[in-house]
Amino acid sequence: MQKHTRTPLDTWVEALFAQRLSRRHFVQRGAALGVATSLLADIVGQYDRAVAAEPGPTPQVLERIKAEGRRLFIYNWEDYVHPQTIPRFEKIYGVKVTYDTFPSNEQLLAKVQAGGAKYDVIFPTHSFLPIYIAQGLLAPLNHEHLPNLVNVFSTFRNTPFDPGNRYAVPYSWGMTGLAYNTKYTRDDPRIGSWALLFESGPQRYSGKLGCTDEREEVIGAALQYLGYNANSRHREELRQAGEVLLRLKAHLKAFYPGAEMRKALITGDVVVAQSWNGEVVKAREKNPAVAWGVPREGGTGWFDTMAIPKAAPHKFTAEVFINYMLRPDVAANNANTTGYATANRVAVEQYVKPQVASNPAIYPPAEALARLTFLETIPDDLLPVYDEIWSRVLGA
Amino acid sequence: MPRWRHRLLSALRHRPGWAVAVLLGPAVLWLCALTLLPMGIMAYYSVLTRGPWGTIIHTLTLENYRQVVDPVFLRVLVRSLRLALLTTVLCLGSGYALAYWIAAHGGRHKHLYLLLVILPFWTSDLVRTYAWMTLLADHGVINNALLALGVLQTPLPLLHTEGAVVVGLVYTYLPFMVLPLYAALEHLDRAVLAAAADLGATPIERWYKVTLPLTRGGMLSGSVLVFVPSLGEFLIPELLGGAKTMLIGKFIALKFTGLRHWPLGAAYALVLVAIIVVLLLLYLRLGGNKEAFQAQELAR
Repeated sequence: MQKHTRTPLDTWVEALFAQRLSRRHFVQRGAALGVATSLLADIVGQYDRAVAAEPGPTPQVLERIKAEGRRLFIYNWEDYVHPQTIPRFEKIYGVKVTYDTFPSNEQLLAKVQAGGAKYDVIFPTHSFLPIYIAQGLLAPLNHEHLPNLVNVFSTFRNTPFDPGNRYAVPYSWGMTGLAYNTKYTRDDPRIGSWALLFESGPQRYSGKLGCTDEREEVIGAALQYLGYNANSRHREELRQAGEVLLRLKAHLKAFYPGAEMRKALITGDVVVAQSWNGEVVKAREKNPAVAWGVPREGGTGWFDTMAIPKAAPHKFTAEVFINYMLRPDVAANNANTTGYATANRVAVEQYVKPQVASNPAIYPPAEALARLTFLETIPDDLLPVYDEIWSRVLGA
Repeated sequence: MPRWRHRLLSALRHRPGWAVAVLLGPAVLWLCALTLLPMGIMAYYSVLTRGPWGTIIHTLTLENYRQVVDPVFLRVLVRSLRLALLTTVLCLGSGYALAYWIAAHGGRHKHLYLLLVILPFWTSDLVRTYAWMTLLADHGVINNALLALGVLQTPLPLLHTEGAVVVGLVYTYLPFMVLPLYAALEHLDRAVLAAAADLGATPIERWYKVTLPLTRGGMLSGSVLVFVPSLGEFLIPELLGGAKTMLIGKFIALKFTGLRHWPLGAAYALVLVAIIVVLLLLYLRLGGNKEAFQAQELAR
């Protein structure tokens, strides 16, 4: 495997996984970011330069793809690749791709668990990986077919959720924080805190509040508002979070999947929301009044991965596709349009558009990064507690 | 007629049992494979145990049915019954007027009007529901028009409300009400109405005492065709409903996908089926089977 030298960006991304950050580390990382930004600025000029022609697929690769029937079934989040990503893959490799989208991790897992849906590549979020792995739902990856894996930030290459990328390869990462429409919130003193949603929300923006529809993240936000850890495993703290959400519910418009949240933010149907950063980045292109930040009580962080279900009928083609997605130019194209940060180090350093790479809502300053908690997998004995809170909140 | 066909037909004629088997066989197979078998699987799942992370353990339990008395489930159920009933009443009111008008005043364009009622079915449910989202959003077509005209100062919250769900349900299921009502009104014997008029009945009395009782069958079958799917509807409350309009169809789907608790979802689904069966039995008692019964009598 080819080695790469560590850059300040690597150090910076490491902060994502740091559990406790000392003040000193903080400053160091802030400095690291400064370096990283200037580094990016230096590289800006390279972006528009023609990408060195990638060597096309070898006859052996094409032969194996042909043996698998030249088909590939992808199951991804909505609006999560550049519009040209799939057509280009089809053209280069002569594969007919079927591309479906799913609205939530629960839905994806339920579908894979049920079997029968023969998808070749899926995009689960990090905290769900241990569930897939424990249940033997994923096929181990053959790293010989994934030479582009070296392009990924080293931090993402060995996470506790899937040590050594045996089953999954990081795709992009993002944050869940607070979105608000400055036209309506103006100078609400609670901006920058979850209180904007949970306290002034009911008074000032009743009926115009929104939340994501990912259970762990909604409950995590309520926990953070209460000053607890988003990964709290204390039943009492979880109960209190449930109460907070039930109180909020009376003033809530809806629980939105990603693309729907974006539309509601653009039109102003929703004024304050717990939301993913990428949706806000895309909403802002249409409505500049929409802003986003990691609240001072903390936000949640996550990364999505590419994996191959055990029942996948076109495993080799799937690996070829994942390797293609790890190409820096492809990863950068995706990152430029989705509004989420790519996990691909070479892409960030060389190909991602400067205005994207310097957008704090995508690549946040180190102090905001330090407030992120990465969601952990819910232990099985607490699952009924989460189920009950979520059922009550949704059903009330 | 070829000999084999002749033989087959005479064999069937002499053995009525075979004829029944040949005629009903495909339908029975179809029902068994696509209705009873899945229901049986569902019933089996509903007494299983959920394992770690949403797997299924084949240990029998009635625990899932105990959870049916969960207040959240009951609240969702009552809300669903209320909205389905409201939808049925609204469909019945507007559908009756429409069917009556087409039957009585449609003239030679009757079939065109009926076609117009059915026409929306030629496009996907999903697309039509999305169209309602565009109409009802805070900054959607309706609100923007009213704001521009100065009727409103701030947009009305229309989308993601119970009202939006009912509008969507009425819109989608109205044809199911109109068609049976039209059939009933169309077959109404005009001579009976003339006789009522001759005997001194006012138009209102004629409608109330003759038309209404004679079209009761159409009203009942239309109501069932609207009520049953509205009760279990998933798509419309999912898209037009909001945080406060969780209905039973979505709640069951949540148990299966969101919470990955298949046994509990199956138990809830069976409870819903049981409620619908009870309501259908009630419908048969109310006389919904009268026409079927008459057909049977005639056959004898």
